Amino acid sequence: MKKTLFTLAIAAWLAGAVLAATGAEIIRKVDENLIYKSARMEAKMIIHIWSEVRTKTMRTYQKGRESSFSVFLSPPRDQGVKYLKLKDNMWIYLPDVDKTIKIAGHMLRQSMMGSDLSYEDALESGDLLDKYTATLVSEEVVKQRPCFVVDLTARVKEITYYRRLVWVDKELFVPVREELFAMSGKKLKVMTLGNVQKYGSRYYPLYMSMRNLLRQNTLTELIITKAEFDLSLPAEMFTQSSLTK
Amino acid sequence: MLIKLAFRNIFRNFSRTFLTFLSIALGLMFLIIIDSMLTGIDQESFDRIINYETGHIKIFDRGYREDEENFPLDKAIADPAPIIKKVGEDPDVAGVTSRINFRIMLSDGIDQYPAVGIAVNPADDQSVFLLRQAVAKGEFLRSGEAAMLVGEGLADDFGVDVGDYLTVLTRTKYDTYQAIDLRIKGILKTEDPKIDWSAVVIPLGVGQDSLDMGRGVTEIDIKLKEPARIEEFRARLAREVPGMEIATWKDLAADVVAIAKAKRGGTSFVLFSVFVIALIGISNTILLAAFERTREIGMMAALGMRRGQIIRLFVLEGAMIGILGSITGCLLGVLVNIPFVQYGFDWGFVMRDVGDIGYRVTGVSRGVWNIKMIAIAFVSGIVISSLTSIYPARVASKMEPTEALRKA
Repeated sequence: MKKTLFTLAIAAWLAGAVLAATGAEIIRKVDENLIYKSARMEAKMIIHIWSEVRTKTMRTYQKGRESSFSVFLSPPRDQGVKYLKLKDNMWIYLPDVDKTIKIAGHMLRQSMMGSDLSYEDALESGDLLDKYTATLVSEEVVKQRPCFVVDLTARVKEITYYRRLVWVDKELFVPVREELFAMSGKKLKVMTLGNVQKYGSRYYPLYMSMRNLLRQNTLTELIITKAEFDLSLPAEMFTQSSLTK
Repeated sequence: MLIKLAFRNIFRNFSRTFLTFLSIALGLMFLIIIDSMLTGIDQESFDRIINYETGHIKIFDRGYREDEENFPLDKAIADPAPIIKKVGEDPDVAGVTSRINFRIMLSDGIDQYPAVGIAVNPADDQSVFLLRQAVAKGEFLRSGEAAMLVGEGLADDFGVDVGDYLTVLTRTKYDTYQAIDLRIKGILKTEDPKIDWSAVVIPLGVGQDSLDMGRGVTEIDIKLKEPARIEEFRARLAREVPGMEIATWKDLAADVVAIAKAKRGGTSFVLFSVFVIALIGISNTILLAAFERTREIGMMAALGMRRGQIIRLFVLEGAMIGILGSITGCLLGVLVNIPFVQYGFDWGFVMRDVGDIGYRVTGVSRGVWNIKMIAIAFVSGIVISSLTSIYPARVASKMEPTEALRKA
């Protein structure tokens, strides 16, 4: 009897280890799709607040995970607003007052352009596996696509979301849904991704929506209308001086 | 003789005297009432700051106050117990407690509003603060229970009541999102807008766990037996707890103290306005009286009244109007001030629209009896009236008796 129990315990431990390894492997494969050397994208941000719908268009240039430069093209009120992200720092340029402001401290927690995304969400960079322990917890079908469900639980203290639950398309290794949790376990935000397109050997979702569960009737959608990957971008684009140009 | 003459003269042109008298009386009345209300607001603001927000003196970890606006939980006092014990043993200390202040978003699942979280120790908070007495509905917190008290204004904004649940969204010491659902156990009505409009109070233990603070607190709050000796105590405390930052309630409420100082300038302006009104009114009355009574002045001079006596006569007339005006003004001021002191004045309609201007007043504020100001008003009324009579008196006294008689 004891021997059987011992064998079962070993088997369970091994299964856990396999699942954990698989979880990390899945996230690594996701990263292969989502991480690029550089990209140029045009996107539409649609912010729904109750019955009001605000649409903003923007162009974004990205270099790796740590540098990005975005300029808003419309509506006229936001035209020319620019964002520069360099590692953990972010600046905003406001053309109306011709001023560059560094977004720091408490400002990072504020909503970006009135959306459900905070500046902090936009700033997030670095390898998830450096900060989270990934565990494959189950498999589910989402929108007729078989998915892995990977639990990411923080293993460092300094982290924005203590836990994430990611549904990853089993075939394409692209996330289709992500839930973000507070330390207490309360679900805070739900992100859904879709319209996956193939770019060379990479699959990339062109649709993303974010819902803040602590506010009703708000939703932010990001629709990428044009995407080019791994092109060469001038280094001076990712400097503060480019904000005022 | 001169007094009798002056007294008769002031009633000779009753309407003109009355107007001057009225301007002095009304000016002083308003001065007394305005001073009463403004001093009342000051005192209530100071009392509420001390009773709900600061105590008399606070201890922070070094560096906390530099970044106070951001509620830096990483600059907390990691182990407050030895300091609390030491401070509590001081014979000058009436009470000591500890708190965590933290920034939150409060949500009912439909809307979310920014607010301030205060984690208090239910066991000893009342030794420094009056929050327990300010629970208008429901009950005060017990240690460790997952419950909260919300300010009356916040409860109104959400349309919630005792027994309902709200979500407190915040960040831990390590900046990780934290969200806790807490039952509303009580509604606070302190008349302090910082509490009533934007505070959520939770038990310290719940705060420490949720914010990943261990045993840490952001402040230690002290109430003194003799608040007048606060500076002496601060100096001693600085020696007893080296390396910590110590701030009195005046340091912490510097904005309100500055407004109060500026307002003292405003009260002086009212006094100055009364002075100008009296100056114009009395000068006018006495100057006109002098011209009207040219013949009489000529007659008095011809009968041998000296220049000095004529000046004294006119100054006496001014002083008498001043005395009557001051007595009436002070009496009116005191009478009108009685209901302001007794029942107060509801500033609610102004404060809610104006928003946070530093004053800790949301609704009814009571006036105060400022005997010093009433005495100043009384003496000023007489002195100003007497002084402003000098110029017309000099003009009257300079008239040549023959010319004065001829002119008439």
